[in-house]
Amino acid sequence: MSFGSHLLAMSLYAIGTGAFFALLWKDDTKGQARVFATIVVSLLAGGTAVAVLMEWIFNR
Amino acid sequence: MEQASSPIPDRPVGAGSALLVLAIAFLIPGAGHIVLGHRAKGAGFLLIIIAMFAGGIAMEGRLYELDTSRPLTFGATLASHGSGLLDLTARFAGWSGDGMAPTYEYGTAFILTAGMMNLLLLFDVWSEMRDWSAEESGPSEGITE
Repeated sequence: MSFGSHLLAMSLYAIGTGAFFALLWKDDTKGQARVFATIVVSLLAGGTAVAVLMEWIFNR
Repeated sequence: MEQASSPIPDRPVGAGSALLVLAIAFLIPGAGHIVLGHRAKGAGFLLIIIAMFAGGIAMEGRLYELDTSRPLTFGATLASHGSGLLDLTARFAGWSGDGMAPTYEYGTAFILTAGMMNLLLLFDVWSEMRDWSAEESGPSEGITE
């Protein structure tokens, strides 16, 4: 398995972190799913937004 | 996976065993929750932290060592050691990471995050044992609403 892709590494990190905090903070399945989705989407969207911003600032 | 991880009725850990539980929780991620009766939750934590740490190793991440001339290594070393036996095993095996690998930064982030997760679990275990202790002491010493 190649970890050369930033997107793959970022996604795995988001999934691991989301699963951890979902398990830590919530006991019910629905709550866990909500926390997991929120963290994964936030990390992926936030990371992508920062990457686009850096690209825009440093490479324009 | 269990629906909810409510404490089991018979408390498996006495106050005197708290330090032992914390030591086990530190060495084996998720083991503290398993000892306290949250078996599915503990197993989940164990899998997640092992996966994060192994991912970090696969990405050539670094295991920090204390460098007194570089204060920023203090926190990183604490986080790195936070993985307990995983960290000790990797160090014993002579793992050092590869700073030239393209995934080095990601790998280090995975390893440090795994350690911080385990340290956070220690607080969670300690918090639950403290709540039990407060309940046993009676309402006057516990948290009142």
